[in-house]
Amino acid sequence: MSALAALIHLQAHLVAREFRLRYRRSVLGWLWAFVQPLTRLAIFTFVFTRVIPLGIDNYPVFLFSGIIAWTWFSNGIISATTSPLALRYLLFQPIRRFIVPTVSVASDSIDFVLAFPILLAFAVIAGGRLEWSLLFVPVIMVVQFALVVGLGALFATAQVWVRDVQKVIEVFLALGFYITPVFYQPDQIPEGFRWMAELNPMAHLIAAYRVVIIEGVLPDLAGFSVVAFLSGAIAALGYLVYGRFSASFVDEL
Amino acid sequence: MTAIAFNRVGKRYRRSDRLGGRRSVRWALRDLSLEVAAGETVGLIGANGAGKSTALRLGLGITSPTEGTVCTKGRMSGVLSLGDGFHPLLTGRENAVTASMLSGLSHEQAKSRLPSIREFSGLEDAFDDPLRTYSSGMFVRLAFAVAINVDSDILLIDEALAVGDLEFSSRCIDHLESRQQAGTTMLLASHDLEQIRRLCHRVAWLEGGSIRAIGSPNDITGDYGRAMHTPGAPLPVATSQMGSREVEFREIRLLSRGGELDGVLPIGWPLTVEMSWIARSPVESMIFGVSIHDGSGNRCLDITSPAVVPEAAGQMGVVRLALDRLDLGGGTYHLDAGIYDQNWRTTYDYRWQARWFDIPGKRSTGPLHPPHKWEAE
Repeated sequence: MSALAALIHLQAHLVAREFRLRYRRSVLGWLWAFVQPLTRLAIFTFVFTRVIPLGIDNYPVFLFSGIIAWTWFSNGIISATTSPLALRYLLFQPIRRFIVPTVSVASDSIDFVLAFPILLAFAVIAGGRLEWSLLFVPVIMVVQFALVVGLGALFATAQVWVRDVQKVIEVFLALGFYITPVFYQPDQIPEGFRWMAELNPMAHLIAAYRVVIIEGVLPDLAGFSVVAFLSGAIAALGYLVYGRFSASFVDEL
Repeated sequence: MTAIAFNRVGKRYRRSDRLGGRRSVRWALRDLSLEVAAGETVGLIGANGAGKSTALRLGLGITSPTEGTVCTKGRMSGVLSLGDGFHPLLTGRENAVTASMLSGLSHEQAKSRLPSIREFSGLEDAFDDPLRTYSSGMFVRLAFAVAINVDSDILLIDEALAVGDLEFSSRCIDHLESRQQAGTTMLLASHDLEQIRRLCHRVAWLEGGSIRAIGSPNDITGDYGRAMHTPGAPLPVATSQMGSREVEFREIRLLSRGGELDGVLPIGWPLTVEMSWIARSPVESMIFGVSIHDGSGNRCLDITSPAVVPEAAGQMGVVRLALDRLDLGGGTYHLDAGIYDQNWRTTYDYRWQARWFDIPGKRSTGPLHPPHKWEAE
């Protein structure tokens, strides 16, 4: 077995273990993974189709795709940031330490994967068709994974020394949910503020999920490659910074 | 061939919790160079804070040196601080699978080791209980059983042998001896000089983060034993003292044939514990207690004096306990001493590990080693 295969094997074992641990001793278990996105879906659908109609077609599918992608992003960033503390026991083993934030982000991706069939069911009920373009979803997921792990590894490194980092990030993620076009269309943003969405990689990733799921075509590959490249660069930066400092984590925790 | 090489290693810890706070640091290790050959067993001895645990952590690669380099060759496993690598909500079995995989086994290999891990640990049904229900002894049993069942070439063990009970620790030592035959490299830290003498080919004595002496187990443990028990050294205070201090120890001395002990007490020799005291406030009457413990913490002796009545505050006196013969087997022992109110209502002064001494010689499985001879007819 090659070293890489062994690493993936170990990673899968740890992710499954984290996921089981998260819902251990809870009666509903992993069904809780659906509660937060579905309540958000219900509230936002009511508000933005009945109270203040936004005039977006197929709103539940539009909204739910945005919510589950954003939830993974947001939960992944937080759990990666706190992972050196939460998965402290892994740092006491002779393994590659970068596995710690990736295990956190990957176990959060399970929520996304579990919710995905529900999203497809909504799409079919709403009269949509499942196109071949859906095969592009894993590609978008890989890009999002790189983005979240990269940012998470950077924040995790800072969090070990300065515990305010988590609090600051929580504030920015709460803002980010409204600044990112999760429950509205990017073109509903006034001209002068569009740059906020243009510069936001999550805005592009959510748009890409929507294009392949709702419109059934591939996203603009040139634009997507820029986001993919940027996410890869952030992941590489996170890897380097985390790698540089993680050798001292055990001494600081 | 070298299996572990420490090359001028230094490890610095930051003391302050605030970023940019006082630049206060502590060097846990400084300029440590040590090579362990493949198949060799090296013991680390030294007082608490001498750098033994830090050296093992660096050897295992869970933290990196501030200066110098640590090179290792081969698959490693270790038993370091208790349960650091385990999850309290998961069962012994689940933790054993994860820990084996973290040491480099595949999932199938890890599962195939479970029966031997369960058996060696002696945990029986508790193997399937969550770790939050474990005692520290059970933690060590699990950690040790995993570490020796993952086919490592190098074993790093920190004090683990002293925590379990006598049956388990002797089983561990037997196992380690069989691993030595099979060519496993080992780096062990222990306070139990008898275990060190039994297992190690070479011993390094750490002091203040550097090697003070390195050499044959008998020489180094002997020198260490004598240095640790300097006659007339001040009594340890702070962490090892408690009590209301109405009466205090001034000095505790260990005497044997030829006067004050230099840390080594030959088997069968007499031992006198001489305790000088001072009454700071008037007390009605007091009793003195002396207990002796072996390296695993087992109490070998615990006796109390008849009542002593001080006449006034400020009075000083001496109480001696004379033991004609100790009859304990080889090993490292420590002595606790206490002054109590006659009815045990108050502890005036208690000194934990006030004095240490080393009895050279082979340890039997039981604690006693009286003069004896065998006769066959």
